[in-house]
Amino acid sequence: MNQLSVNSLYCQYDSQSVLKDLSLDLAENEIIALLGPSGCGKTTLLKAIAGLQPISSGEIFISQKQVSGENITIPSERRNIGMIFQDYALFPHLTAEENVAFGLKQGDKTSKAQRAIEMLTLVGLADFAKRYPHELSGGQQQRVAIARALAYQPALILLDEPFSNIDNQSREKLMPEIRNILKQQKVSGLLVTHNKDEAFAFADKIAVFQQGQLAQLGTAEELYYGPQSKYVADFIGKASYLPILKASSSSIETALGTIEIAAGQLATPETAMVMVRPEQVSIKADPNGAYQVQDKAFCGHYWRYTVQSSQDESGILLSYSNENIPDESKVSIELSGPNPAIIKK
Amino acid sequence: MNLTISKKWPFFSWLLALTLASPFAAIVWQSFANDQDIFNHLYQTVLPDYIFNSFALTVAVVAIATLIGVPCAWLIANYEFPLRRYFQWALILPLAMPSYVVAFVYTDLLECAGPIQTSLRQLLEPDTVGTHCYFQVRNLGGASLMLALVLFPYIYLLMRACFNEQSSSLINSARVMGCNTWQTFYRLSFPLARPALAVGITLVAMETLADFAVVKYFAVSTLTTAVYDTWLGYGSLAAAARISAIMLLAIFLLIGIEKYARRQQKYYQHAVGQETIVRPKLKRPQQIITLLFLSIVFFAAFLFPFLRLIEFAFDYFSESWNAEFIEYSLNSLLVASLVSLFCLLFGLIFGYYKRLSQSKTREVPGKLASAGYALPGTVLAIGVLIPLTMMDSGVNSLFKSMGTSGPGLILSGSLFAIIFGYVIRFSAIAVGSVDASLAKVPPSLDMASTTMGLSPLKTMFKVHMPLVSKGLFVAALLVFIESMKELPAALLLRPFGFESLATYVYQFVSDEQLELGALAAIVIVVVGLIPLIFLDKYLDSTQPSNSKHAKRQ
Repeated sequence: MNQLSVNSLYCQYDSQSVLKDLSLDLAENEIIALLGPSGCGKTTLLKAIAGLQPISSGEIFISQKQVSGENITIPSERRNIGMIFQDYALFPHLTAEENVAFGLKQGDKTSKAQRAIEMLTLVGLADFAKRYPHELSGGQQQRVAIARALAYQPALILLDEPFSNIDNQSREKLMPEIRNILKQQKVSGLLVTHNKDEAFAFADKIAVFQQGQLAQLGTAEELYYGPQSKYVADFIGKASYLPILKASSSSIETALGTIEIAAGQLATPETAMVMVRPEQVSIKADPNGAYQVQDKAFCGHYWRYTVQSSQDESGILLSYSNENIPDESKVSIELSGPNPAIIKK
Repeated sequence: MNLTISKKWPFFSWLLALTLASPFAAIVWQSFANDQDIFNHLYQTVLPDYIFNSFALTVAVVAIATLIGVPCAWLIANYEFPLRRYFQWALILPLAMPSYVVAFVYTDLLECAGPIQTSLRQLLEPDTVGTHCYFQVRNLGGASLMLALVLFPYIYLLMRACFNEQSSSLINSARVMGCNTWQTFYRLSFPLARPALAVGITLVAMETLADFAVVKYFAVSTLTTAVYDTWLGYGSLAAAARISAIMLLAIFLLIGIEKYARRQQKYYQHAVGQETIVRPKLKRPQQIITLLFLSIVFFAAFLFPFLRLIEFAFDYFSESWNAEFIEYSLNSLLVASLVSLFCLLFGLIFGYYKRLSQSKTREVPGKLASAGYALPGTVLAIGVLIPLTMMDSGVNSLFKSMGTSGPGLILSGSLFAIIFGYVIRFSAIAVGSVDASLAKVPPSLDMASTTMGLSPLKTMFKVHMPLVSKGLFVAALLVFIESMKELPAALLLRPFGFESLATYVYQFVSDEQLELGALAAIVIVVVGLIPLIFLDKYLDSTQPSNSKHAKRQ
């Protein structure tokens, strides 16, 4: 059962379309990250779902109930969603506890306060209930915002770049914490981010946006090793590309050897190329190797190498290796790990 | 930093500041003087009524101005409707209208013998030839309405800026948590705007307390008119000083309340980054109500009185365009120019003392000098007259003791008094602007300049002046315009036979002949419009852009 369904949604700002024929489903207790550069329409989608942004056409369903569509616009306040804003949007004139109680509709003052404390306890801030937002650190404010958004048990929670104002160290601690809370409370979530590491760490699935359209939807691993376009491949991580030298119905040939392909996969030298991640390229110092180390950098738990083919000037590959290979050494290459992805040119 | 332009600078700053603050001391000192028969007499007879009138007037004006100003600000800050951008600045224009001009225009229209009541009589009682009145204009209620019409823009402006600054994510989060528009307003927007409202109310209340012309014209006796009458009528500086002291007390109380209401304000305005305001469009019926409301406010507070002025000026042009008009315009120009010059100079003296001195009390002279801004015109005049008449009599008795006749009232009876008074009242504007401009110049520039071998004086001229000149110009302009408009202090401080444009117009108002002074009134209004352009621009620059290009997805 889908907690959220978006069907061929179009949105416009000043007659310029921001979302084009966008469809997306979010299952119960699932977290999807909307990933893309700024200006690609991901926040617009979030606002359209929240009812804060008018749509041009298409439909949005929350818990199977239509909230946006032709002649239907349920106002934000009746959509039963929780939203976390980039600046947390805590009300500065209310204490943490009053903030959390703000969205509670049922019950008297005492039961609301009780629920607020319960939620603050969940996020580990029960001792800070009487503090005002300006008396809390950024991470604490973020957790109050989460408690506030979850307090009234929304059908789904929308997170708009919630970690962008938090320093790296706190972020790494906070992300799994908040993910666990969402999972524990069995809430579906939609996270907007331009940071792939955030998407990887927080979401079950990632939807990569490209100019108002969904470029690809899948798990982090699917997107990393099986991107369908160069855009997705580059956005998700470092990649090298190899031209296809020859293609048959069951395999293709590249400078690094033959790669088997699934039947029916269309791949000709003109229309497609092969993408490999640095992890898939293992290099070994070899005086007879066809490649040469062009550049290297120490990155902590690995070395990053850029190697160049001695036959083909454009044949440049990225590789991670634990070995320290001297500059300008000859190296030989071997592909390992998952099958390289074949993507359209 | 250890820069000094002159060793005498601190001494001079303090001397100047104390001189500018002397009216406060004079009023307090004089109100304890022994000669208090007149005050006691007033206290036993009319003074309680005056105090009540002042209080009631202030409460009524604040209430009406809030009821007009807050809805205007809310609608313009939060909704999109046709002509919104025009109303946004049009609603500030009433600030340029002298209240007594508005009072005259409406009295002319609504009084017993005015066109409205005459038509009403003809309509309702066609047979009787009477002068029966349906309602009175010249009373406390009328005065409150007139003052509220020209003062509500303070509340409108401050609330509009505040509503605009409220981060849209705050509003959105209230919405997604289930608040409808009205709940969002009273649970979130309004509580957040309370500090701004407190500032607006304080400004309106102080202006109301200080008003002299409207209440005098409407014959509503308040503390301001009492100060004026005790001095000009009874000739008692002591009694006038004691009434002034009562007003000072009220003003300090108001400022105290405002400070208290604003104590948490710095935490309230906390928008992160640039946001696009997407104002929801109003539906047709709501649009009509909104436009009707805003149009009525603008028409009543500015357009109608201004059109009447133009009509008067047109009809009586040949009578109004005369030697007197030109002479008094030049008088105003002269006084306003001198006052701006002095204010700017003093502002610079205090500003540099604050910037260059190491002293813990370096901010005090500027603050002391700025206190005069809180003085109502009549109170200020009394405060200025006390030390000046003392000095005059001192000088004259000195001459007498030497056997020659004294030079007369060289200080209290000359242009010196009026200029001194205006400088006290308006130097706060210059001090504030100079401070703000200098604060924007990073101290590292001073250090860079000094390390390159420039003397502090050269640094001031070659580094600071080019950077702050725009701020100084705006400061001088604001002082100039305020000086052109100031009325009550001018009425009490002007030398015999001296008229400024404001006193000239007021004369016509109290003689019920504004037709002849309309040209002068238009000059005052038009000059007063200039700072409003700056004000609107300034407030606009502090709000996030709402242009159609701004975008965030």
